[in-house]
Amino acid sequence: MTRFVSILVASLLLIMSFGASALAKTPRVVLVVERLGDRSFADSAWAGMQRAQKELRGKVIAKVVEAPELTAAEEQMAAFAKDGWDLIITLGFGYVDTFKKLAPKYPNSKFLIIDAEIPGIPNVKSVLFREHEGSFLVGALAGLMTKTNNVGFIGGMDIPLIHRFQGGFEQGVKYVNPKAKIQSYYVGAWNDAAKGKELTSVEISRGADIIYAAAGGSGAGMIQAAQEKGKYGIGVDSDQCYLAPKNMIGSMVKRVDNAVFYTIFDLVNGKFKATTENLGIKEEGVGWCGLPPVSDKVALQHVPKDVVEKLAQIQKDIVSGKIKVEDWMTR
Amino acid sequence: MIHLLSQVFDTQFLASAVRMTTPILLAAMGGLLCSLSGTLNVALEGLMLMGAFGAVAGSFYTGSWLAGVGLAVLLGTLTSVLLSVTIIKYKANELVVGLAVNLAALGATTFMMRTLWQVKGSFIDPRIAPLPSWRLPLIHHAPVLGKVLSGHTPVVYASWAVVLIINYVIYHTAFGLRLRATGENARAAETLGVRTKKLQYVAFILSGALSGLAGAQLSLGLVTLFLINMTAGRGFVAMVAVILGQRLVAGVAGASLLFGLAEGLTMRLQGLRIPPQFVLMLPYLITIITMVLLRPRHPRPVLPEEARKAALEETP
Repeated sequence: MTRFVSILVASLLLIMSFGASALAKTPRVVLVVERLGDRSFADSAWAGMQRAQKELRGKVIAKVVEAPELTAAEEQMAAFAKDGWDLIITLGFGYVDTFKKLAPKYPNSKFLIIDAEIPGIPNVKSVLFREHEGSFLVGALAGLMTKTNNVGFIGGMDIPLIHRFQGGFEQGVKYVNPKAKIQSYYVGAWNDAAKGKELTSVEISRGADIIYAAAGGSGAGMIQAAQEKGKYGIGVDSDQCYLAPKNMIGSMVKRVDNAVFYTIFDLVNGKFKATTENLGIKEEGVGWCGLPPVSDKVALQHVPKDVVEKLAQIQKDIVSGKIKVEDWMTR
Repeated sequence: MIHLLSQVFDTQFLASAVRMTTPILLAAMGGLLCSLSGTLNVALEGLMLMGAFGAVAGSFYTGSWLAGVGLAVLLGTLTSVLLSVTIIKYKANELVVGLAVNLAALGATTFMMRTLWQVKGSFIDPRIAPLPSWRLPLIHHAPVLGKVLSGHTPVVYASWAVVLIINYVIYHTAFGLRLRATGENARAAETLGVRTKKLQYVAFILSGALSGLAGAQLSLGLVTLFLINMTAGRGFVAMVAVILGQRLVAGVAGASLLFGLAEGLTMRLQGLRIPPQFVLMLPYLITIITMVLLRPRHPRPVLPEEARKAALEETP
């Protein structure tokens, strides 16, 4: 079924793209994602595409394709490369091999991979994020806001990338509140909201009053548990505050949208470079949504001014290198 | 050590296990009926997902959880009828069609969610009315039992009633006897005048309704939202429960409870310096161990041995 649909979509897109190629020379960009609607990672990339469509109107043709499985995604990417699309964007380390295969074969197309690194191929750009820095910041937020001196972390899968979120968070809590207790649990799935909620309830019953979740769709369960028990939650990737305005004190935002937008911007202006970018707080790649440029009102209505000021100072110290955040991914 | 144990095995753990058991239990009861009638329902996962979607949709549009449960049961049943027609009437391979229904349910619910609500990934809205939690009279104020057994959703209590009713129907009514006879030897049962196909349809219809109800507990009871593929394999766990329970009503109920307890255990064992990978492995480990330890047992023969032989000889 999924396969049939994706083939159908692919052929439709191809037909449409033949039409588009008549326009000639307008750079064409495609984003291939597993699924939109995670309210975080993929949606953020999509937001970058939408911004490009709006701000670079007429200068770029942008498309999003969903391919729920690896083989379907590979077929999609190959089809677009073959058709001569200028930039192909994808997310996650699962597609490293696909890009390594496709990029040398289609040297006229450019490739952008986010959250994985492919060095040494002249038409592939990689963007990585220092999520531990952003997580450090929301960890400090939790450490300053907790009344029970007990905070929780909920991870999706027990994998190195999520250890990085956990590590940054734990370091941030300890930095401002060395005596605080931290509970870090794992759901074991990205799509089990029920289990995410039960796990959060366990953390709350063991004393936690602020919980940070880096768990994809399972994270929605954390938000509902926080709502039910009247505790605070911290979201991840996209700004998730609007999902529960009374109980969210912010999100660790990962500006995938910026990475996507600026790469398209560079492409349109002929300045695309096949480098590896490593975006941290300094580059405004990650951060807490309560601070500029986002300055989320929902978050700020819960967080007192002195805490916001302290976090702004911590942010400065991370930028200047005074605070060094250890990366648990490589630990 | 005692402190550690008390942190894991408290009343909250048991209450959480009861909650988590319910979707598995309901779907497994449905799977058991199909299994007893001699068919295989691989689509429990997909039927449950349809139910989860129906529950959220019904509750969202009417503001009533009861309507949500109703739509969940309806969608589960309709999908199951479709499945049963292909299997019973058109003799399609149960495994292939069942898996197809699972994939179709995933696609259909995703598509409907996006079309109806213009969201992608998950649908959360304050207008979705969750299942209420009901207190059981008398038991609610009992010291330990109250916290474990009371305060659950109506669907949880319904699931207990379902087990009792199915147990009675299967072992104490003519319908149950005929259903088991159909599963054991359809041809022999037919020669004795049992309308086997009709019984198999009934098994599929009930299976769809129960799986739909399981989905309602998931999307309106455990959480109040719809998430793509939110069943997260619980339908397959239910299938395993049917096999693990040796196709006995009490056995299947026990196996479901075992999985519920294991799921609860994986949550409460975290944060106790046990590697989370090991903890998350537990439910599957328990399955393998119990499957090895339990010898396969044949279901009780429905027909006396001689009658069975005679019936077999009569049919070509």
